[in-house]
Amino acid sequence: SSEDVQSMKCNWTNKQKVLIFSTRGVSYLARHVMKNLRALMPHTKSEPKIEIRKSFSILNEVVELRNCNKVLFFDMKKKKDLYLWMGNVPDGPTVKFLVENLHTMEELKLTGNCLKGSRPLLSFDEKFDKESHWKLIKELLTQIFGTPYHQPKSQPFVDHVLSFSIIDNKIWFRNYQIVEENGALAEIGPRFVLNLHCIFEKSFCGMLLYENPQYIAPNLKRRLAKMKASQKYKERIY
Amino acid sequence: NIEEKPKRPLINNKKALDAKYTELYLNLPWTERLDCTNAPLSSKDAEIIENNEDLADSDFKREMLFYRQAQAAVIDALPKLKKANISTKRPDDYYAQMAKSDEHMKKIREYLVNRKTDIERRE
Repeated sequence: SSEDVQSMKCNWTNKQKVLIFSTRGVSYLARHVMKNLRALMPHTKSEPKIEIRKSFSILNEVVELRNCNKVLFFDMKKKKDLYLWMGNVPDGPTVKFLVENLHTMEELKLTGNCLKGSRPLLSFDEKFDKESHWKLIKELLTQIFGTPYHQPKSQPFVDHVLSFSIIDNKIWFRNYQIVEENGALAEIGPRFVLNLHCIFEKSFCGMLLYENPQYIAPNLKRRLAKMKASQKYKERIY
Repeated sequence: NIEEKPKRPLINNKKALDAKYTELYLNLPWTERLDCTNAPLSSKDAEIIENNEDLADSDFKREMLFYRQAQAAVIDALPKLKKANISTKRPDDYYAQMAKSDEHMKKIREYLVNRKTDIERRE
């Protein structure tokens, strides 16, 4: 009833708003995952695709115009390499990831389901507390993916868990439904792996705070693979 | 031959990262944040992490690990949720839109049934 909504609005203190959008030329996969994320997170807004000509700093204006303070921005290069920018606007930091092993909720044959707009528990690997950059990323993930209590569009139940684990120096994202109170779970999807590239101090600008030494750019990775393959024939000739 | 430029050393500015963390940190009650940090549920899983370097390639072990971690989070969080009077289950007469549509769930069920009968037929 309207009274309930009123009381919900009064208690709503943690006003995180996340803008989810992308550049022009992202693939259908990225579009579907964005749609999935919007369905899972009631505190998000959407925005038409944008074309970036010179610098990313125009994004700050876009986000502020929509009254948001967090952003998930997808950028695709060469129609195959998907990058995810995760930022706190306007004070920073911004984290840039390469997205790997992307699967949508629709394509995975997983049996779990949850309410649209219910609040998630956030589960983090212990490795997030061991290094400064992971710790910073953990706080950013908490504020972006956690749905605020009493958010007007949210449902007042906690019926799924978003889990973030670090394996191989990458963040693995999974989404589970809480089936039973004793801890039985069923996976819902989507799935993706985030390979950390770098962290900037401000939102889409400022000083570099961290670069991942294990990050290999996808272009370089492809070139190395090609070189390795061509080596086979060189050996045969001589 | 062109001389190779010396590479810039990679940046890892711990002090600035920590400062940024304290700046970003939102000090809110747990019911607002709902974050849990935990190891996977059983001690056997901890051994898997330490001994296995190819964990990223072994699908089953990896998924099990994620499952256990999420499970540990749920078991940790449930008493706290109960205390704060937040329910994990909606009442039976509470209707609301689900994240996946009924149509989609039906397709999944059909797929699972088909696969099961396929396996039985082969045997």
